[in-house]
Amino acid sequence: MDQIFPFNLPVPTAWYAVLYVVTLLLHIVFMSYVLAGSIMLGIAGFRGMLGSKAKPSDWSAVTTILKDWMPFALSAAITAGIAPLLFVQILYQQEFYTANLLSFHRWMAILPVLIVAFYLLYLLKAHRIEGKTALQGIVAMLVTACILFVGWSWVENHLLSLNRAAWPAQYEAQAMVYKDPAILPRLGFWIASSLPTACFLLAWQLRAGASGVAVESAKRATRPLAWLAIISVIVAAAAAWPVIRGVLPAAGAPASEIGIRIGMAIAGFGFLLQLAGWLPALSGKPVGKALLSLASGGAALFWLGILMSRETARLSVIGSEAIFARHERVGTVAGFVIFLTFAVIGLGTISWIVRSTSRALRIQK
Amino acid sequence: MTDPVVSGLISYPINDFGPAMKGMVIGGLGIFHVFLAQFAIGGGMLMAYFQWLAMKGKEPAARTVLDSYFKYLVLVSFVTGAVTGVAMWFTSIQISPGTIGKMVDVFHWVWATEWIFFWVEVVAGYAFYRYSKILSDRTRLTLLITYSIAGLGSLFWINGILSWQLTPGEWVKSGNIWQGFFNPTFWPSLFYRTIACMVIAGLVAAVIVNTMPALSREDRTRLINRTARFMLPIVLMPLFGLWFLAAMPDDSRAWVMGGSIAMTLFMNIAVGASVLIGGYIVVGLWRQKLYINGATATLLLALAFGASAGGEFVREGVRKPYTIRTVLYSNSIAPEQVAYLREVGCTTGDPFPLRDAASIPNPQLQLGALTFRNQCAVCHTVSGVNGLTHLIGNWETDQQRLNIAKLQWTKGFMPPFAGTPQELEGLVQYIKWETAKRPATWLESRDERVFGQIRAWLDEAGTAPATAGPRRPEVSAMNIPGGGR
Repeated sequence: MDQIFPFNLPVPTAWYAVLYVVTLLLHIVFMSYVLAGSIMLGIAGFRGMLGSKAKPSDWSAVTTILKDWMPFALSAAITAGIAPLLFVQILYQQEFYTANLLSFHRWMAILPVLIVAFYLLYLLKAHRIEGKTALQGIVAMLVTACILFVGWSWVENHLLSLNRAAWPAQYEAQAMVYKDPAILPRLGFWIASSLPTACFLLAWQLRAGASGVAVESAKRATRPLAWLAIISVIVAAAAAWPVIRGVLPAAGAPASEIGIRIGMAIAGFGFLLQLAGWLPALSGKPVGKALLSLASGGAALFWLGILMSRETARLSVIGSEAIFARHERVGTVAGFVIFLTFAVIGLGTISWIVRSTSRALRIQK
Repeated sequence: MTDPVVSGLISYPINDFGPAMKGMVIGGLGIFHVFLAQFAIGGGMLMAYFQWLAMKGKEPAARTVLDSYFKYLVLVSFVTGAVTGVAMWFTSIQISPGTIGKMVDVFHWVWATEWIFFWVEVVAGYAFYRYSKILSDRTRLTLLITYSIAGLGSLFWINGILSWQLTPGEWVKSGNIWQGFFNPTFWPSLFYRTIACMVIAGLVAAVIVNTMPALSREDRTRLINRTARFMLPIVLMPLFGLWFLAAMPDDSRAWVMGGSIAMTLFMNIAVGASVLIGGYIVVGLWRQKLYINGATATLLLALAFGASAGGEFVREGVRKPYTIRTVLYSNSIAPEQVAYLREVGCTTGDPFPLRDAASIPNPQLQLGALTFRNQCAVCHTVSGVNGLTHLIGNWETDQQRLNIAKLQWTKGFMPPFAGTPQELEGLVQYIKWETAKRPATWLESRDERVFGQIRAWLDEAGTAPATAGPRRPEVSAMNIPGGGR
């Protein structure tokens, strides 16, 4: 089979890996908003900063937007998650299915937990509890707990899928919880990485005056948002290498090492761009379109590099001739042209919807 | 043995759902999800109709209903409907990873295309939900039509995959996925489901209209009668139902026509409930222009849920003994793997140990427990729902051996047994031991003549399923002196 340099992968495997990474990137945009947003809301709720009776703070504009947009973001995150979920089943079918089966009810629990989180988010924006700060705080913290549970479950599932040697004992013990010292640092990495992404999304929303946020209130939120983005992106960058490298066997996988390093270099470039985008905002000046675009592009490159490295590492751990042969067989199935055609039509339709509603909003303003 | 046969054998850990049959889990969730998804699709169409009525001045109260209805649509279908959709994938993995894996392998581009439709549905739906009040009538209508087309499109794509499971058509020979997608039951199933969407959405509207204090009794009556018009295509349901029946494989049709009492019963529940709903809509709501209150509307909606449940049960059931007809049996064993597994054993490559091995008194019973797990557990429990101790526990030992060895001929909707004579004997002993309430000691049956007889029966039965044709093997004279318990 032809190998694609520098990732040392056959063409069909690389093709599905690319599709997986691209669609996962889209999912990560919304997932980051939900994960980081739920943490921000949880902290704000804990500190009594939610609701109409709460004292205004620098974060008021952010929490107003989050309360308004989190239900949609969760819906979008789930919808965006379908495609990477599809491609992960092609790339790592046996590993993904086995990890799901081993975690059984514990894994399946993420579904009702997501439904609960959804309804709690709608409850959070209900007028009926707008004036009840304590109740809003409890609801927000419950949302945080639900989303963190889902995040923890995904990390656990991922690590279990990589550890084939642990499967029989895990099954025999009926252990629905997989214990691995890598879970916490990995979850920490995901949380840290999601924060700068959510920050740039929120900054765009602040600029656009989303959820009726006043200009002055939006200005006040920019500086703390920049601080949060800078600190979290530094933490994420520091954690990235050990987290990615940690899944490889001690002896390493020399053939894929270069692919992992290229991914890390792209992530490093993204890290620098994010810093360049956010640092000027520390002075308290409003973040312009150009700087925000820089931070946004930086976040995208950071994630792209991380995902490239992660998939290269994963395929170097579990990739085998049998798996590559399966990808080749599956790769012969027709339907890509139909998908592409409808993707173009779908994108056009979505653009039209966004344009129409934006125009209506402008007219209203 | 060819490589593809062997390489297709992947051992997954098999979970135990206690006394519940796995089919109940996926079936229960499936019915719930299908009902919500159909509500979402039909709801979009109904709202587009109401928007048109409002724009044309044909129904002044339609606009009032629109916003209220859409709130329910978002809260119920966007949330629970979307998550249960993902749950269907996850539950399918829990029940039959081999089946869902095969479906993903064959139809991943179709699913990816459906994903695009989901996106359009979500964006159009949310745009209407958030901004409908500031949008022009024309834009509102276009949004609702877009939402409806996206919803119907998602039904179109998933319908091709689901109907392919029962009637894969020419795909089996050609491997052309479009021949599998546009299979013999594709169109009747699509039309039938589209009408079901419209009826469910209409009945939900009848419930919601009754919860709105802003509407007068006259408004409600008019709106319900308008909704009845929208639901009128229900009169075509029998036609599409019959078309679906005619397009089914002969053996599948035989199950619902009396061959399997459970399937016949469920089909009659679906038909009976649909007739009642259809009768009420056509005679009461459309012809006589009656008003129905919230309680009656809810009752009709519950009947519609019953009809959906019956229909989905039948759709799942008639595939037996396959999950993908002619390609994969219910227990995820492919027909071409049966002969191979009869030689090497179905438990040989299973890397997952027995969880309760310590409580099982001898190795033969342990082998039987493993055989049960690999061959039977997907549809049967030991002593719970559809439990083997209830079904065959009181059979004589030789009767059990013979009937399991010739399983596909014992019951036409069972797959052929795919294991060695030792595994079959282990299974028989395991069922007897479980029927005897798991005593602390149990003698092994190691009579070579028994294994020889089982082998002979397996050979007589052959490896082909009963669905392959009317062939019935000769039953040999039983000759097992002192064989077994």
